Amino acid sequence: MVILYYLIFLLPLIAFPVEYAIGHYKLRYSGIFSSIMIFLSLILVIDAYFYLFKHAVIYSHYQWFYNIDVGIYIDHLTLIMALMVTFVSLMINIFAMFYMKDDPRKNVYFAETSLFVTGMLGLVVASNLVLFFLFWEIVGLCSYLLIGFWFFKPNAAAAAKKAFIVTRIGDLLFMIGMAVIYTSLLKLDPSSPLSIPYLITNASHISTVIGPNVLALATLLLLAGAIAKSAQFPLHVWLPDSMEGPTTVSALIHAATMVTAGIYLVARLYPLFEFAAPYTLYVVTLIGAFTAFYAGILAIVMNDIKRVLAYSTISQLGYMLTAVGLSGIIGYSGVAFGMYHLVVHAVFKALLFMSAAVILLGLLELRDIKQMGGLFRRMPVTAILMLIGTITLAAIPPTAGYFSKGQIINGAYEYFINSGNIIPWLLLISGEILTATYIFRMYFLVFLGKPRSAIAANAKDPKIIYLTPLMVLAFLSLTLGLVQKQFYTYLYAGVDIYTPPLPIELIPVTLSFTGIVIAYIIYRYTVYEKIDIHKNVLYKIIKNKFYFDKLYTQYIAERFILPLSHIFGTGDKGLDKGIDDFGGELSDLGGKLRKIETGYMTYYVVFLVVGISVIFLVIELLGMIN
Amino acid sequence: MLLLYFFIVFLAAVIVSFFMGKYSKSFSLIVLGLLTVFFVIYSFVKFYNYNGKIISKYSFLLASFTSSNHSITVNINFSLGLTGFTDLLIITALLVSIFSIIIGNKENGGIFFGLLMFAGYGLTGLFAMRDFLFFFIFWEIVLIPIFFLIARYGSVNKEKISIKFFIYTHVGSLFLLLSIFTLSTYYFIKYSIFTFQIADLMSLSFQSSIPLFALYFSFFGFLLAFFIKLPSFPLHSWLADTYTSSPFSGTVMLSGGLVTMAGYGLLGVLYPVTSLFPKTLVYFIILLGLVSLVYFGLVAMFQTNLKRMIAYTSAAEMSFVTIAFGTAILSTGYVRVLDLSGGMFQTFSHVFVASLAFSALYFIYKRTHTMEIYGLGGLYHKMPLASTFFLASFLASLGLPSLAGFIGEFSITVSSFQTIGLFTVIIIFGLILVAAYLIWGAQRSLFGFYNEKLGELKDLNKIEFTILFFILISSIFVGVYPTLFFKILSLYATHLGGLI
Repeated sequence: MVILYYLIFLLPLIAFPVEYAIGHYKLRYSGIFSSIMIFLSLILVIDAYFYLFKHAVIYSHYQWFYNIDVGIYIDHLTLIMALMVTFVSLMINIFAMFYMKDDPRKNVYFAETSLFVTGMLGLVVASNLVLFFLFWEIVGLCSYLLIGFWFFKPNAAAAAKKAFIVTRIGDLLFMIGMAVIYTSLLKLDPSSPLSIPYLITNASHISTVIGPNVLALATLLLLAGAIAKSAQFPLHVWLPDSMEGPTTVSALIHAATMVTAGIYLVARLYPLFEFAAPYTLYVVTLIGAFTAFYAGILAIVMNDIKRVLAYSTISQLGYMLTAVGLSGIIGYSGVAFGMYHLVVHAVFKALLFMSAAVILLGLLELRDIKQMGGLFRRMPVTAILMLIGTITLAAIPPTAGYFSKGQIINGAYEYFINSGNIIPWLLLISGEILTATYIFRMYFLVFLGKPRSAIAANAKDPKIIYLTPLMVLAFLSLTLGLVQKQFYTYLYAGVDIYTPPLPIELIPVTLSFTGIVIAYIIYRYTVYEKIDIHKNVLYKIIKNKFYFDKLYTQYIAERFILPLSHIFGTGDKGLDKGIDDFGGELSDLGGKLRKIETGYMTYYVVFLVVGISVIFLVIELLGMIN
Repeated sequence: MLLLYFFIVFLAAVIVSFFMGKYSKSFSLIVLGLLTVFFVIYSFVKFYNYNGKIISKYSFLLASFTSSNHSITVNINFSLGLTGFTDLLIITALLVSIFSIIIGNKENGGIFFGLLMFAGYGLTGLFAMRDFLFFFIFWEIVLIPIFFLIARYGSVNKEKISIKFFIYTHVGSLFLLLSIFTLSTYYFIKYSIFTFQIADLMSLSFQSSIPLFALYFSFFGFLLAFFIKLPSFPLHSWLADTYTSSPFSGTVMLSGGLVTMAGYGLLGVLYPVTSLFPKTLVYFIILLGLVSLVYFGLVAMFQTNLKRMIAYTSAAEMSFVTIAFGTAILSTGYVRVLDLSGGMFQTFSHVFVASLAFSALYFIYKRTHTMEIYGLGGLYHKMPLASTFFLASFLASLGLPSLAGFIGEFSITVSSFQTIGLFTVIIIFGLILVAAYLIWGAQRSLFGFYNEKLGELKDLNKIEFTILFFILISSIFVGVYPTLFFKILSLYATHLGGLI
C-alpha cells in the first residue's frame, strides 16, 4: 500500500486545525495531539524503511495541473532525511510543551509547528519540483509566522519580515530555475518535465540534449534557492535575526530542519548538478567553504547566545554544502558525507538550542552571554548536556561530530589531491579552529566564573523529566559516530572513504584543541582584563558583519527601492492629476460652449444661416480651386 | 437551451431584487446560491468529456434577410455558447456576486443589491455571448450598475470619481465598438454577409484578408478597451480612485468581476487572431505587462492607504495576464498551453485573492474606521482572527503556493521563459516588490505595539468569520486542487493554441 505513505506528511497536517481549535477549549492540552501525529509519522517512516529493503523506491504520482504531477518519491536519501525530520521534530515538540507551557497562545504555536512539519516532510518526499516548491514555500511561511510568534515585539516582526523577503528572493530564483528546465525540456517532450525521478534518472541524457551550460544555468538558479533557504553567503543575513522567535522555533526550524532543506535540494538533484557544466559544483563548493569560514569569524564576536548558535548553524551548513560540492571531483561519496553531517548536526544543534532554551527560561530571556557566567554550579545538568553539544560541534573525538566533519575535511583533502585546488580544504580547516573558538568562548562565558548579573545568580535547573528529550539527543550526539560506515553505505553502496596521511588527518583535531585554548584566553581577557577592543578597526568591521546587513537594508532597501517607489508613486499621482485636469478642462470647455446654447430661437436661426453660408462658401471656394 | 433559461431566470431575479427592500440581500443570496449550484452541476455534466471547443451552443435568429439578386445576407443572432474558459468565468462571476453581496450592509436597501446583481448578470451574460453585438451590450451593461454604486454609495468625492470611471472606461468601449464595426463591415464587403458572430469575425482566414490599416485599427481598438479594463500601465489612472471611493461591495465586484472581462477579452476573444500581430506589437505587449507589474509594485509600496495598496496589488496581479497573452503568442508546444491556461487561470483565480483581501479589509475598517497604515498598528492584539485572514489575503496576493494566486503566476512565469529568456528576472523583481511591501504593510499594521488610539476593538463575529473562512477555503481549494479547473482550461488552450 504505497498510498499509505502519503500520510507521512498528511498526518501532521491534521494536527494543524485541531491544535488551533483546541486552544479555545482546553489550552493546557495543546501540544499533545501534534506530538502524537508527528510520532505516527515517525512510525510510518520507519515502516517505509523496512519497505525499502524489498523495493528500490516508493513512487506514486497523480496529475496536478497540466503536465505537472503530485506524488511521493522515497528512496534512501529521502528516508534518511524524513527520519531525521520526524525524530528531531518529535523531540523538540515534546520539549516545547514544557518550554511554551505558560504562553497564552501556545495552541497557535503548536498549530504552526504542525504545519511546518507537514511542509518539511512534504518537501522531503515530494516527487515533483513544483510540489517541492509548494512545501518549500510553506516552510518559509511557517518560519515567517513563528519568527514573528511574539508579534508584539517590534524586533520579532522586523526579523520575520526580513527572513521572509530574503528567502523569497531565493525562492523566486528557484522558480526561474524550474522555468529553464521546463522550457528547455520541450525538445524531449516528456510526460512530466519537472518530476524529480525523471530528472535524476535521465540527467545525463538531458544534459546532452539541452547542453551542459543551459543545465548549469538551471542548477545555479536552483542553487540560489538553496542558498537563501540554507542561509549561505551572501543571503545569510536573515538567519541571525530570526533568533527573535521562541528558542524551540530556532531549534526546530533554524537549526535542525528547514535550513537544511537547501542542502537536501542540492543532494536530491545531485545528478543534475553533476552533468551540468563542471563550474556548477565548483561554485557550490566555494560558496559552502567560504560560508563555513566567514560565519565562523562572525560568531566569535557575537554576545547573544542564540546568535552565536545561529552563526554556527550557518557555518555548519557551509560544511554540508561543501561536502556536496566536493562530489564533483571525489564522486557521489561527497553527498553521503554531507548528508551524514546534516543528520549529526540536526541532532547536536537541536541539543544546543534546547539547552540554550533551558538557560533562557531560567534567565528570563536574557540573552547576553556577558551577563551570564557561573551557571555550571547553578544548572549542572543543563551545563553537561550543553557541553556534550559543544564538544560535538567542535568535533572533539569520539563524538559524532568528529566523524562527520572529519570525513568532510578529509574529502576536501582528497579533492585537493585530485584537482590541485587547496582552497576548500584551507577554508574548512580554518573553519575548524574558528568553530572551537566561538563555541567554547560562549560556553566559558556562560558557565564558568562567577555570575555577572543578578538574574544569572538565581538561575536553576528545571525538573529533570523535562530534559529527557535533550538527554536522548545528547546520547545520540555521542553515539551516532558508531554508524558512520553503515550510514554511508546505506546512502551509496560504492562509497569511498578516503584516509589522508596521518599528519594531515591529525590537523583538524589539533586545531580544535587549539581553538579551545584560544577560547579560554579570550574568555580570560573578556572577563578579567577588560581590554577595550571596541576601537579596533578589525573588530568594528566584524562586529558590523562586514557591513552586509547595512548594504541590504540601508543601501538597497532604503536608499534605492524606497526612493524609487517614492518617485513612481509621486509620478503616478501627477499622472492622475494630469488626467483629472484634462477632464476638468474639457468640462470647462463644455461649460463655455454651453453659453452659446441660450434657448432663444432667434440665435439658433442666426447660427443656422451663418453655418449654411459658411458651408456653401467653402464649397464655392473648393469649386474655384478645381 | 438550459443556458437560456438560466439567463432568463437570472434576469427575472435581478429585476425582483430591486423591489425587495430589506429582504433584498437574503433574496439575492438565495437566488445566486441556487443559480451557482445549478450552474456548477450543469458545467460538471457538460464538461465531463470536454473536447476543447465551444459547447452547448444556442442560437436564435433575430433579424435575417436574404436578397437573391444581390446575394446579400443579414444575420443578427442571439447566440450563446460556452468554452472551458468562459464556463469558469461564469462561475467566477456568480461567486464574485455572492462575495460582494454577502459583505454588503443590509440597510442599504433593494437598489444596492439590485445593482450588484445587475452587474453580476452583465458579467455572466458577457461571457456566454457568442455574438459581438450582444458582447458589446453586456460589456456596457456592467458599467452602469457600478457607476451608480459609486455615485450613490461611494465615499469621498463620489460624484466626480464615478464620472471619471465611467468616461475613462467608456473611451475604451467606444474603440471596441469601432473595431467591431470595422470588422463586420469588411466581412460584409468580402462575403456580403452582415454578421456579428465572434467566431466569424475572429477567424484567421478572414482577418488575414482585410487591409492592413483596418486590421491594425481593430487590434488597436480591442487592445485599448481591454487594457483599460485590466488595467494596464499607462491606462490605469481610473483604478485607484475608483477602488478607494467605491463601497467595499463595489470594490469586490470591480476587482474580482470587472477585471476578468479584460482577461476574457484578451485570451478568449482576441487570442485566435494574434498570429497576425506584428512582432513589434507582441514585444510591446510583453513589455507593457512587465512594466505594469513593476510599476504597480513600486506605486503600491508608496501607498499608505491599505485599500489603495491592495488596488494596485490587484492591478499588478493582472499584469500577469498581459504577460501571458504576449508570451503565448510566441511560445510553442506544451509551453504555450501552460502559458495560455496559466493566463486564464490567473484571470479566474484572481477573484478569490481580491475578494478575500477586500472583505478582510472591510471588516477591519468597519471597526477601526481607518485604512491608513499609520493609523493602525498592532491589530493582532485585539483582533487576531481578522488579522489572520488579512495576512492570509496578503499571502495569497504575493502568490504563496497552496493559495489561489500561485498556480497562475507559476505557470506564466515558468512558460514565459521560453519567449523572454532571462528577462523573467523582471517578473521576479516585481514579485519580490509585491512580497516586500505586503509583508512590510502587515508588519506595520498588524504587528508590533498596539495603537492605543484605536480604543477597544472587537474581533470578527461568527457570520463575518464564516464569510472569510469560506472565501479562504475556496482559495485554498483552488490552489491545492487546481486540476478540476486547469484540465478544461488546458484542453481549451490546446485547442486555442492550435496544438491538437
